[in-house]
Amino acid sequence: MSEVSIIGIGLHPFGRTPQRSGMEQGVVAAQAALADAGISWKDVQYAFGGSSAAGNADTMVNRLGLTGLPFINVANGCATGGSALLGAYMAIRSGQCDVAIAVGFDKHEAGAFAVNPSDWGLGNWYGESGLALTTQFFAMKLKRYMHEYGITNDALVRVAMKAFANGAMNPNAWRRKAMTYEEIAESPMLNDPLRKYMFCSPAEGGVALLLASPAAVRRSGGRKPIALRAAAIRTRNFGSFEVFSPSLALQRTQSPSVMASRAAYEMAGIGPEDIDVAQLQDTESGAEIMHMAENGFCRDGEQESMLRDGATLITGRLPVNTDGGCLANGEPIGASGLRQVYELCLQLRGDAGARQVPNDPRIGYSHVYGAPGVSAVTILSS
Amino acid sequence: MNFPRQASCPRCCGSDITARPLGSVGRLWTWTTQEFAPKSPPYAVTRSPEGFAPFLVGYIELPGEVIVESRIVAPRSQKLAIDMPMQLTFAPLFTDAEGIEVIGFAFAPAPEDT
Repeated sequence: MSEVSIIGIGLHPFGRTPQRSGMEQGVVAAQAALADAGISWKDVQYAFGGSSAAGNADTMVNRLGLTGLPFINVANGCATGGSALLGAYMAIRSGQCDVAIAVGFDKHEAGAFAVNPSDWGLGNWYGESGLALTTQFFAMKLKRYMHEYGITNDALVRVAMKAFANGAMNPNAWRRKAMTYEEIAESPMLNDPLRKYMFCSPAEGGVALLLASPAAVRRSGGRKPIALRAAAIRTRNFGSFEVFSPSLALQRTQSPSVMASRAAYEMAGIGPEDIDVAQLQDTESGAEIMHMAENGFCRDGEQESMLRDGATLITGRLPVNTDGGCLANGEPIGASGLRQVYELCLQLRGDAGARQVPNDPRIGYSHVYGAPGVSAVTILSS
Repeated sequence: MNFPRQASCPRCCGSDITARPLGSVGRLWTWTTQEFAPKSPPYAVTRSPEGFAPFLVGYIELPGEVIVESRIVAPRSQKLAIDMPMQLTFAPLFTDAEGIEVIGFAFAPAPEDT
């Protein structure tokens, strides 16, 4: 039996829920995870949780129950959920506890994220002169990548089409309407080459996962456990191209996603060829394309033909972002990384309904990336 | 080498830093357009009767030095292309709440022989 298993999963629908705070969405997710695992809050011995814009996660104990458990708040940008999961994973692996919860939630206002440059170690000039936008970074990394490896606008449209088609099959997604090629390709340009429907939008949602040791798995009578075989986080090395960088080194190096990916494969003792289904950070269409290569699923440039051939569709040889990804679910920063793992658990249990990957997928892979250059990867197996 | 200058080196972790001026010519490494108004703050207020005017942003590779992020000024008719020669310039970047035009560094396309 694996050293750490996921025994319960819960999710509050993503999108817009005006009647509920972000934290309440986290509580709904946590209670759903407990019900899924068939255990009570009193059985949870350690908690890690966070949000970027919706309050202190440990306040949730007012609603979940004041049991005195240690609750660590996590704030790690887009890797907040991944970091909470890593915390819970390490708490169990180190023998601190038998059952831990990782929870993430958020609630953002509409429109691109408003950035305070000093939060990122930058002078006010950076924001005042119109440079403090994550969307610019994604567009510029992508434009360079397209130039070097021959990726075309066609590939960008195909990623977005797939996301909305998958979202249409996901009752918990925000955008549940498939879009045509033309609707995406002709939507307004925001940051060349990226158009409106190629970007995700800040939104709301909550996810919770319950992790357990082998002893606790044996005690619980819940669902079939999913093994968490690897969880790794890396920050940037000198020479990688990251968001909010007033300058870059001439000497180029691998991204933190490459480093986290390699560490996770090593922990799990497997390689990218063993993965049956993957969730990759798709802040925008191009991010999914570049992350396919950074996570080892293809060589740079191969994405163009893979997308044309439908390789990453649910029916393809490597289904990517089967729940619609960030494009169809929106981006509640604290929740996105855990949403990916929630979706993998559904897929590995065979519970993904209309969007179930065929042929009994056994190994899943998740990857998040966020400012200022942090990536988290997990590998799961049934 | 790092821009703007800082008190320690992100490469070697050392703190023995020397300030030096950067070159003023280079090549366009990547670029994009900003076609929607950034949120303000942090974006300074731009006062224009026509509303928000889209602008250009890019990274310019300064040979042997560093790749610098910068606003780019170019006529709308000019097509930008990766590797095209660029030259340092100064340009009005925004008009603040008091109506004062703020000038900052920027790069502009340069003739091929510079």
